[in-house]
Amino acid sequence: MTKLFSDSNVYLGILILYIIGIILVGVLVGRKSKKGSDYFLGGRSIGAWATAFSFVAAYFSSVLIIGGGGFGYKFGLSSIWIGAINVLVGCFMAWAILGRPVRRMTQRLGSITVPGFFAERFGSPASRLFSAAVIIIFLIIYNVSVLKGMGNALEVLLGWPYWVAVLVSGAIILLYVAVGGYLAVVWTSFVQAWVMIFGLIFLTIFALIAIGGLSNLTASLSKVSMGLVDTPGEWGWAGLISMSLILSFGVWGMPQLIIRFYSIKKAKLLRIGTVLATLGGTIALLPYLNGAIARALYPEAELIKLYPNVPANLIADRAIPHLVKEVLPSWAGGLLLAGVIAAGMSTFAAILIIISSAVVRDVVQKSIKVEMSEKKVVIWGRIVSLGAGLLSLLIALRPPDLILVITTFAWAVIASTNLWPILFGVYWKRASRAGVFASMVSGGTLALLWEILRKVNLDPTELLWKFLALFKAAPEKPFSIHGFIPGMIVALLVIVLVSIFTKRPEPARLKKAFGS
Amino acid sequence: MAPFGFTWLTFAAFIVTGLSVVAAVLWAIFTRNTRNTRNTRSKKEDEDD
Repeated sequence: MTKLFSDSNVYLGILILYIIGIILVGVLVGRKSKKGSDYFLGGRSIGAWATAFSFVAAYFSSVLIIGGGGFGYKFGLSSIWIGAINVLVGCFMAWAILGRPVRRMTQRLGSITVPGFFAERFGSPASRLFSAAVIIIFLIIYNVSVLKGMGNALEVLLGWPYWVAVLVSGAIILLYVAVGGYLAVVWTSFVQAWVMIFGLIFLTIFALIAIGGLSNLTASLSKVSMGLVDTPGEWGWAGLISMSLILSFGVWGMPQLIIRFYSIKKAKLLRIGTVLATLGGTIALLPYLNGAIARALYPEAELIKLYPNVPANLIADRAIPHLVKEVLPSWAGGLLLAGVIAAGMSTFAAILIIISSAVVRDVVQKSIKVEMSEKKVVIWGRIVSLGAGLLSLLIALRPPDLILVITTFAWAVIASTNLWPILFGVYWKRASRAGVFASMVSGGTLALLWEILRKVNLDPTELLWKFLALFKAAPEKPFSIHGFIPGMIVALLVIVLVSIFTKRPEPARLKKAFGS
Repeated sequence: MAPFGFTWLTFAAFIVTGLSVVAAVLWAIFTRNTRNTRNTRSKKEDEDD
């Protein structure tokens, strides 16, 4: 019997319903922005549920669902560890350690952006400008990868041309971000988180039914290779640990996630928020698990044969879309597709607001010192959100190779720049203006240079191993280290050492920041 | 062998995830009982809590 509706029509129908819902939510809740702190921070009025689930949605983009599934397909069950560390370090520890002090201190200081926090906490306009510049440049590039992820997902599942998929998804986000500001971002992200959660849960249930349960999964994978079942298995410790750290600890320095702590209505709501964000974060395990299920169901050779146009080294990224097509009924496939798009939209929108606040508040208002009424701040916030979104969109339509390379480490550069200054800013009174600035510049620059050298086949890790070999301390099996790791280590050493040897922060500034 | 044919080291990822959720709940309960014990905070912040 022929189907009344084809799969792609059902996908499209559910997607249209989802999009209409998102636009309605975004436009309805977002009209309240009357001043800059409303547009960029929702007037610090967001509840625990919206804060927690919008954090989850902004954290996990469509790149995680498709790319995480790819890791699961390629490396097997050990990749689930990345999701587990995401939950422990990226959700629970980030909320428990940073949440309350960030909320309280930013309110005392009156800062509404992450670069603004550096300026007010350390009395360092240079740190504000440097952080804002890194955020603006690298988040625009990071957004290109988010848009590309959404475009590719729509391309595979709906058969749309890539450019149509990018334009449609980008235009919708621009509409609600420009109109609704931070409030629209938070509430649409809240809805999007639930779409992601249900989409991934349904995919997991149907995929597990298809493979015949977890026991069959492990049995099938062990027949292919025991390395797909064991930890670290096919991946190796170096790759698994560094990827887990980058995708988990990096969160502590990402402004679009840290800003959630600024905007929660009351510090006490962070308690329930921590539980909700940790629970919501557990969906991070599912793409990896589903990728491993896809590996057991569809061997590599089969996928390569099915997708002759996809290069063999990228075939793992087809694992989740193929699994969706094969195991899910149309309605659940539509929901998962909406979940993938939701993941991308929520991340993209969260980033647009951060870029806009960095440009308007930190660069134009505070650094160039252009006087603006609150009404004008909102208008310029909207214009800049729109401009930054359009720029990402145009680049994403035909991304130059260089941009595509940078997208792979934009996250690492931003995190290496901001992470320690945020953490030490809220916990260590001795952290000095010079220490923070030096840490930002050294951490961000090292991560950037390290990754550029790796991409042009001049991997600095090899030099490091040669140096360690002089002392017979090199590992038996040399491996490549991601720039985030040296960036983090150097930035940590620099902030501690430079702070100790430079002028102490003024007591009045500390009193204002710490409230005692 | 761990449940469902997993190796213990791989299965530990699920255990760590579960323990993270438990830790979050315990943390939420613990911080509720210990807050407001310092006398260094302003009245405004007590209201915010």
